[in-house]
Amino acid sequence: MATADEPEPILRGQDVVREYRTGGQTVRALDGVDFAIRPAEFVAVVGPSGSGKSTLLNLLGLLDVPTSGRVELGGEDVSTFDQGRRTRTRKRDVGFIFQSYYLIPTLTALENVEVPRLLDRTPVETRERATELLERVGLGDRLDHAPDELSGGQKQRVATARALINDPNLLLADEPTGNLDRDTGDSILDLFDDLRTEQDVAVVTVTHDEYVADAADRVVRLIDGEVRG
Amino acid sequence: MSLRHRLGGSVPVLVAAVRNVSRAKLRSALAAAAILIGVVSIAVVGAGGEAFKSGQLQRVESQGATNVYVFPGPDREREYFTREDLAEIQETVGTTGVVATTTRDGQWHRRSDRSEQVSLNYVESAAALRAITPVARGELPSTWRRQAVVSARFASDHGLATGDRLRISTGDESVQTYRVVAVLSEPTGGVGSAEVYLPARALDDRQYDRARVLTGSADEAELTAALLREEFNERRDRLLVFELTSLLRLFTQVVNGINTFLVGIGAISLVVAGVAIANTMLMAVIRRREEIGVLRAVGYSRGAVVRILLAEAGLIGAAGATAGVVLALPAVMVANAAFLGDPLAFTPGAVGYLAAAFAFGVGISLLAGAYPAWRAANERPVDALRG
Ligand SMILES: Nc1ncnc2c1ncn2[C@@H]1O[C@H](COP(=O)(O)OP(=O)(O)O)[C@@H](O)[C@H]1O
Ligand SMILES: [Mg+2]
Repeated sequence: MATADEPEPILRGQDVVREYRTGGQTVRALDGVDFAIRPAEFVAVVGPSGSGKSTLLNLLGLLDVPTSGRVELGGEDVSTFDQGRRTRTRKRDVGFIFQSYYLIPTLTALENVEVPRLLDRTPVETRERATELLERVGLGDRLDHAPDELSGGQKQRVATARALINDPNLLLADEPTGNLDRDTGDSILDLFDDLRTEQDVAVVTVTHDEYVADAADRVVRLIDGEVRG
Repeated sequence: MSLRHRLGGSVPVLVAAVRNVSRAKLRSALAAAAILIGVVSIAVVGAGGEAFKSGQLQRVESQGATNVYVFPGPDREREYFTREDLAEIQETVGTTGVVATTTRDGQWHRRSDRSEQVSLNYVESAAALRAITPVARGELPSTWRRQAVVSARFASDHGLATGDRLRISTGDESVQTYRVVAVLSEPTGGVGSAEVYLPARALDDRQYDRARVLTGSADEAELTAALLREEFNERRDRLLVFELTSLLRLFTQVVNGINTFLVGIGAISLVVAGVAIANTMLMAVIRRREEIGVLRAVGYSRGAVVRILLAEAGLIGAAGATAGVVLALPAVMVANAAFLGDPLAFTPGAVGYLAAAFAFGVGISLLAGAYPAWRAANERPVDALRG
């Protein structure tokens, strides 16, 4: 139920189950999870390795569909979307920061940030926006650097800028501050705060870092595919 | 903001493809080289063969493919044509020109004590001679009596020039003197060429051993030959009729067959090149698996991934095929120069082979890229990104 201080969720999950079948075995990575992600919310997902955090993030990002249960986007069951619509929805609504960043090694920082909008035929606007985002994450002086000329923290900031190029409503990050120093971690957290207050972007981040979890509005604790506490 | 960047924005798939192809320069270059070899072999063999064929056709045609050669048939009582026979032939072929000639052996009395044998060809008129042989030097008289025309070879062999006198006799007749008024140009007209041409009025018997029907084209020659055979040879072979067109057709068929076979071998090398491209692309999509997963995750459709990868394969193919055509051109020009006498005399068939080699090179590359592209586009991004 939406109340005055609780806006409609962007994304909602009910009794979400995701099973993987490998060989003869079935692994239940998520075992009946409920969730709701609201605009401007900052949610931290924590849990031991193998507890289903990445699986949950993939479902939130429409990269995957549940084996059973429902994931709803704007009231619609996403499992009814065809591939094309899921792809378009991802492009419009979701920004991903992947655990290993996955920057393209032969492109500059700026070109990497532009990648999600490369096919849009708006080269001028895309370049302006990408430059602006890199400046915002503090890499205004590293636009033309290749990924291997950047530190881990800088790569991560490029990955963050790339996630933001399409102005998503939902930013998903898989252990974004995993092995970063505190200062870099702080600057990323500050950026998340800005995005939430300025653009109502919801942020869901998987983390092992209690420091990040403390900064979140809400912590989802996963153990063996179930939400605890 | 550079112009290049703005322009690139309108063909983003191509920009992405160029970026990717240039990432693995050596591998792309090797695959392009394979295409190049195939394109060169098809283009050179195909276009060179076309030049050879049309060169030979031109030669044969210049030597009388538009003529029908008529000889007295085995079922005739006489082994020569009379003027009545010629009139009958003329009637059958209508307005088309008929030139009757006869070849005799004669004696050329070079000096009073010495004579040598020459082949003589008697022709009805100066106009008729002009119709069957090109004249290089000299003027043919309008009324042809005591003048002789000699072949270029005969003139050069014996150092003859216009104005010289020839003393000639045939059989047991007395020696007649002719003045050389013209020299024919080489090559002289194929069947029935002779050394010395004399007017038919010098013959006392007016018996001709052959006739030539002069038509406007090889096709017309073939029709005329058919007409003559129908008219004269229904029951008995009164005429021997030859025309080069049917021979030409056979020749063309044989050359085309050989050419197709050789081009087929070239095409096989292009198919092998296609395998190289498929391999290159497969390596590329495996190496770039995660990157393609990212593209799919950030909203590239499967179609977009397919388009980018096909553009990469197409670029490699187009680069190889372009280089192939560029390399083939000088070789084809050498063939043109050798067979047609002009390096730039590209026949439509040769241009067709060049275009087909290019198109086939690019087409094979696209085909080779199709499976790797399809495979990459259909991988689930979650699987690609699972580290
Ligand atoms: N594509 C897959 N195929 C098979 N098993 C998988 C797959 N993805 C995840 N799993 C399994 O599901 C469980 C949860 O994985 P994951 O969501 O990656 O956990 P986490 O991110 O919390 O470490 C693990 O046991 C993992 O081995
Ligand atoms: Mg994980």
